[in-house]
Amino acid sequence: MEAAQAQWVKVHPLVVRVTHWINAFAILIMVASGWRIYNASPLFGFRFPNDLTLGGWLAGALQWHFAALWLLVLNGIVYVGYGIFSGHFRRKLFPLTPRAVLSDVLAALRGKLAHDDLAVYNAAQRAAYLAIILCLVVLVLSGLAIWKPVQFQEIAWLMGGYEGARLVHFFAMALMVLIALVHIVMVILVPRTFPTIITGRARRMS
Amino acid sequence: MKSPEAIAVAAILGTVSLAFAAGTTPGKPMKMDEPMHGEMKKQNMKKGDVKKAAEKKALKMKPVMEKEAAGAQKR
Amino acid sequence: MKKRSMETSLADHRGKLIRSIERRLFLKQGLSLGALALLSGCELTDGEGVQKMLLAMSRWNDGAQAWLFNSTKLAPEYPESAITKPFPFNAYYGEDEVRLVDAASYKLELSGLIREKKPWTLPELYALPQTSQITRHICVEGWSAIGKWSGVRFSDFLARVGADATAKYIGFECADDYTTSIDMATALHPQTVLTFRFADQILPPKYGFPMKLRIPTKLGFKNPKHITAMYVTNEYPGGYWEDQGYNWFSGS
Repeated sequence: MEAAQAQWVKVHPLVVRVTHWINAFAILIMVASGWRIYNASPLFGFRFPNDLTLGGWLAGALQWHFAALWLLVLNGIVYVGYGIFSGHFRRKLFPLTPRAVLSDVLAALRGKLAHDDLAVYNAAQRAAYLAIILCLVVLVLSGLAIWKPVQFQEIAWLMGGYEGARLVHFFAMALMVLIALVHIVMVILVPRTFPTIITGRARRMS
Repeated sequence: MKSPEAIAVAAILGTVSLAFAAGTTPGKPMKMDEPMHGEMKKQNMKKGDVKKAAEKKALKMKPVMEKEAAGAQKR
Repeated sequence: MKKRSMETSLADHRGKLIRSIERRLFLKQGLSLGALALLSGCELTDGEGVQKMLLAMSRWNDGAQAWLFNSTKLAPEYPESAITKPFPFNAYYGEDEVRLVDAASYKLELSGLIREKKPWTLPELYALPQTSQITRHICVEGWSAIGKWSGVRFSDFLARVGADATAKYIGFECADDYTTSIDMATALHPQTVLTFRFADQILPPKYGFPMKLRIPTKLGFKNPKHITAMYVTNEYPGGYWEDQGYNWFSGS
């Protein structure tokens, strides 16, 4: 390696990288097992293909779902705690205005969204990451309401009762999966972002 | 504890209980070799599995019951 | 901030450097795809270690739920107008195969850590003080339905027969060969009711004649129907679905 090339910038702190991958793994398990659980009593007129699900049967899927739940929640507490107390959220996700999000989303759709400094999230990224965090919070809360509609009946009540919580859980999942898919497509379109979430650093642009 | 009314109700139940099932007639012998009904089952589970499991469990729990009951009497 | 198009910024990087990055990328993606395939395939999920881990987590969740269980927290009750009609039938067999129990010869057998083990006949059970509830039955499959059940408060019945309230478990055997068991705290919950009536009628066979233990703080499969025997014990009794892998506590 020549000295000239060794100009690195720090993009993602270690905590963010570790929690990102644990989160990705936990979400994969939660979604795949959740789809199997959904199939046992579909809310709508469709089922998820069994090949895309995890657990093999209802009991297996429930075991996966309620095991990965702890991974998701504990990891989420570490990430959100770090994000709030280190100032990471404040620095990286804010300020965020609807106008900036709209203009960046439009730019991205035209393929004209710059992403020079990987350490700085553009407004579309900020909105997406914030939305996924909120989706996960809603998923955990609605999940608690479905799991414990008596012990946590106050949460269930906020969502219109047990059946309401099921709907909230489903739609929060759908939105989260949609955002995650867009996220993956963006990474494929801008592949140099991918190593940064593993190594934490990127080569300086200019 | 026994009320004549309750006895009368219980006595006729054996014959009239059929009337409560709307549409289908309950009481057909269970086809033990057939796959289970419902979404809780694993693909290869048969209705007869439940009976076999119950017999096994009864065998396992019987000595426990006797031991615990004997222990409780000693106290 | 200077904005450049994605194409040009990508072009900047198309060089010998990018090739090594792409190689790494491919490797990493390949690895994560492999991990995914393992996860959803049978290789890993059928592995003994993974099964053990999942069962250990299920046991851990039993403990967590016992800890969360509040013996004074009541399940929501509903007005008559909220009752689901028709109330769904659910069992491991078809509705035409529902086991018919003969009322006249029926006896509820008691064993284990119970003082008065004399079997109970239906007239004797019907003569006990009765209570009613309109609560939501929630199935582990996800669906739910509201019904009205009436019978004797289970804690009253247990006190009457001298069940050891310090014991851990109560196990049930049913006329349809089904078995299940519950924790003592749930058994003593004020809404846990040994029911003989559904919608003010004698419990029809499809809903569990002659009796169903109605537990609004537990999932449907923990609410045994056609109960013929029950026992109090400190030895974990499990149950049919529980032994197959469904979570034992399964509390709501």
